[in-house]
Amino acid sequence: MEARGDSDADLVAAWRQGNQGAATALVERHTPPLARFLAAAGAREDLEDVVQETFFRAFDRIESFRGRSSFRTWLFAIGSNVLKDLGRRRKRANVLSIEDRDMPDARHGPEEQAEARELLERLGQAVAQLPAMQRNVFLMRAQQGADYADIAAALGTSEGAARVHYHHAVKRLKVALA
Amino acid sequence: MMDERDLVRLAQQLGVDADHRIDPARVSARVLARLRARPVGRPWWRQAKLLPLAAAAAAVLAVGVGIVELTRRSPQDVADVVPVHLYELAVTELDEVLDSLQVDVPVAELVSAGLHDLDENELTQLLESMEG
Repeated sequence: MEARGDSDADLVAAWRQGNQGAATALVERHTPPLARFLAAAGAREDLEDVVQETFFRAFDRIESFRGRSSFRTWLFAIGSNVLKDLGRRRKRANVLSIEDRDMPDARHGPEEQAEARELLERLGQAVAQLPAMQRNVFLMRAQQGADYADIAAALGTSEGAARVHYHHAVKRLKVALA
Repeated sequence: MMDERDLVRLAQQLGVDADHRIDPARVSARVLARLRARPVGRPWWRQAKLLPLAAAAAAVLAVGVGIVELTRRSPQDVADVVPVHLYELAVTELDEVLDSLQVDVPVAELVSAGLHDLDENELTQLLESMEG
């Protein structure tokens, strides 16, 4: 049985050997960030189904994971494809409602909270309208803190191109929120 | 205008409650159940290493059928094709030729099914091999 402290690489190797406990550990470890990424990228009420499908595809094709990127960003790339396949992008403009979002800092008053929620709402909509590559790069970088090399490997692009996508995404989002 | 640092800070709040809506144990159980339910192994022709071979074999079969069909047609029909070296034709052109001769070979379908995995050299070799 695997230890929860094992690295992703160890768990992936164990899953390749048929260790189901390793798969469980990977799901438990990566579900929270994956759910956040997918929610920001467009999943809504069927978020759990999208998460489940993402893990299923990942484990089903684990032999294609070469370790060039981190397991997590590879998972995000698969999740993004799942969303695409499910046609969520067409509805993305409406997917993130205010109630789906985290409440802003409770130390502020109702007016500040309302403003912050409105700003977050606008950001969600602006992110949803980004081209797929820009959105993926932006979320992986800004939301998850992934480095460019990792992002580039997961998305099948170059590190330089990933930087450019991020730059354009930030530029567009700034304009959208101005 | 908002600076990048504030934008990133705001972006970190997107979907921040989403993980609370998901039960990893339930996800894990369902994923493993689906994995157990899938067929054991894949058909030999879907093995990654054999896909190009399978695509080539399918293409050979399809083009072969096309050649056989051509030879059954009138000498004039065949004569129209003979001066053309098959390897000089792109797949779309080959498709058009077969279509113009009313040869029912689904080249386009084969392309979408995996022929596109072949690079130009492999495709040329394949077509040359069909010239005999």
